[in-house]
Amino acid sequence: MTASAPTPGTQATARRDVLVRIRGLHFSHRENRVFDGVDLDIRRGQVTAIMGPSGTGKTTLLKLISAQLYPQAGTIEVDGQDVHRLSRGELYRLRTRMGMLFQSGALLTDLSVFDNVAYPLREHTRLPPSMIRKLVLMKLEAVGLRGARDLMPSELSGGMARRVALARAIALDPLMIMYDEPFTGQDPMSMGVLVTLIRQLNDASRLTSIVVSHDVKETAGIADYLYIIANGKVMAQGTPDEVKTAQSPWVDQFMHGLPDGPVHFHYPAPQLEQDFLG
Amino acid sequence: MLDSLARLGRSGLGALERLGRAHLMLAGILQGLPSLLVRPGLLVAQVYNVGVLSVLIVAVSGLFVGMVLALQGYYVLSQFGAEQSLGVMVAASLVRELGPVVTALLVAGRAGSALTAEIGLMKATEQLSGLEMMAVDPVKRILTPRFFGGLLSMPLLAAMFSAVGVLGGYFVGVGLLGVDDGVFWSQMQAKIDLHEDVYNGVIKSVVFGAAVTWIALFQGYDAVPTSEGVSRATTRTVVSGALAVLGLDFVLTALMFGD
Amino acid sequence: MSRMRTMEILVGAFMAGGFVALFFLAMKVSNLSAETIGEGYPLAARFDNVGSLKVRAPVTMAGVRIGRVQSIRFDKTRYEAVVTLNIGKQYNTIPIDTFASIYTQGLLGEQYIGLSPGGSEEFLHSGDELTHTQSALVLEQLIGQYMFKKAGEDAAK
Repeated sequence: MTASAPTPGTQATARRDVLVRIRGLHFSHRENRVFDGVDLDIRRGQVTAIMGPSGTGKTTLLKLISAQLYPQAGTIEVDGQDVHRLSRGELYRLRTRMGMLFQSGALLTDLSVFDNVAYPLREHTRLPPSMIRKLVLMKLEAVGLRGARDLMPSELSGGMARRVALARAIALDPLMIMYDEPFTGQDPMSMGVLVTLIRQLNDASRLTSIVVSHDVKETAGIADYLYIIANGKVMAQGTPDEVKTAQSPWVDQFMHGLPDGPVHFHYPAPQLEQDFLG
Repeated sequence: MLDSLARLGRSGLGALERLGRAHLMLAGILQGLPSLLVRPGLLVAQVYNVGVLSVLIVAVSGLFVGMVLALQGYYVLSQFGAEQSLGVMVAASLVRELGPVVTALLVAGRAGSALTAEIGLMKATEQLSGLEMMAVDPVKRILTPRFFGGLLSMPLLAAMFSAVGVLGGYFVGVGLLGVDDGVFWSQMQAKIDLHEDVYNGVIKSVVFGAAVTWIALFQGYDAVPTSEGVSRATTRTVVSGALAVLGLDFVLTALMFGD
Repeated sequence: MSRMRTMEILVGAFMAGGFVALFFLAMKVSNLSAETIGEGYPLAARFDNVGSLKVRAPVTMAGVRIGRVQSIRFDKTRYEAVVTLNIGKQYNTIPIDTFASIYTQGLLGEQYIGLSPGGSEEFLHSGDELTHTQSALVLEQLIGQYMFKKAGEDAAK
């Protein structure tokens, strides 16, 4: 299946199903054309994966969705609101309904695990401490780290830090969670834990999840819908099965991790004879 | 040839950009003052970081500077038979100049570099982005308390420096060099004016406090988020902070102590 | 939370220490204690030449400081300097024929106004003017006078 926007006929019903709608996105950083006309739909209640080779700006996409960055052209709507036209206050209100899991967890290093998860609750709600305590412990329980509540971030392993960050991301019961490269650098066990958590959380709380990754195997395993982005454009989209059996040789090379194909193995170089015999 | 010109132009534009970003950051910091007053705990923590942790180096330096001033001053003044003015000399030098300036330089080195490293590291580990995503303004939450903590601490530290320095000068002048005790203090009290000298010294230290803290926070906030970038940023804090203090000192001295 | 408490205590101590230092500087180092903080009343005095007299210069009588120079104006019509003195309220027995002269502290020090009391039994009140004044001595004029006199003596020999 090749890149195509939803047909006009389905738009009316699709509107309500789509939580994040991206149309005509153009974004450049310095001279680098990161996105060159991208259309995306993230449907409610689903795990949507955005994949592509490293450096294609997948993290940038998440920053664009949360309006930490502004595009040169195009619109991004979250729950019907154009995020780049919101006032400061409205934007912050919207962000409390979005959770984000950073690659490194991004926990505040001077606070304990408990205080990190409690942070958004203390900032944005006026709940009494007893209530906050119960909520924090519930979130930690959901990620299996209730017993680690008093540890400091420096005492956690990478996988544990990410789970705590996940607990923090769901502290305010958001509409959606964005995962930035959640599987990078994980051992198979913690990978398995994360994969399970992402899927469970999504289904149990009727969340919408966006997973940005270049790990084909794990991501394709839990995603309901895939987008593959490269060279600033959507190269392929569809359910994992649809994409795996796509006709494009490029998609084939990416999905199956083949060393050579449309993306060449050899970096452009002079002829072999020139270098060795010339 | 044209390339060098182009590069010059680019770096000039880049410098202007940085200046603009620094001012935008400062505007954001100042806007955070009302929220800070509601959570004084944050301010207390920062006064601790900048002020309390600098007391030792400031006090010890002040003591030695005061003692050296008395020593050097005595040798010079005795050539004119004016040893009795030693108290005035030590006190005036400290309260007007050395107190605010040396304290600011010390704080730029100790607390300034620590602030830059802390903020730079938070940027590199995406903690600042994380706060943004949690709908918390990192400028108001992280930078504002640190700015006002520095602003508040500096004049207090400068006063400590000057006070300890005067005492150091007293011990050397009266204790070691034999200047008369009563004359030391009475000459000083006659000549050092509360408004002209002490107040102006305090104003200087507040200005230096603002400058040093602003520079330290901006270098961290604007740092390249890698370990090398953070390390370069801390160096810039110390260097730019020192130069800013000395430059501002010249301007303020000309304004305050000129005619 | 005990870490927080220690921090708060230390910060409190720090701020107290800072204020003690400021207080020390104000009281023991500067002239605050010698300063009369009391209210004052204004007196005027006109001079042909105020020399390098500055605002806030002391005003003394019998060597004791009784006030400060409040302002120095230039009178455009009479080409004189009009100095306003601020005298402490408690010093209200200054005779109306008192002399106001501009002296210099030491040889090259700062200039101040010294008052020499007259013999009148009427006293000056707020807003009155000291009519007897002596301007500051200008060094160049003194040297010129001396040289002129010396030249005269030599010529007479």
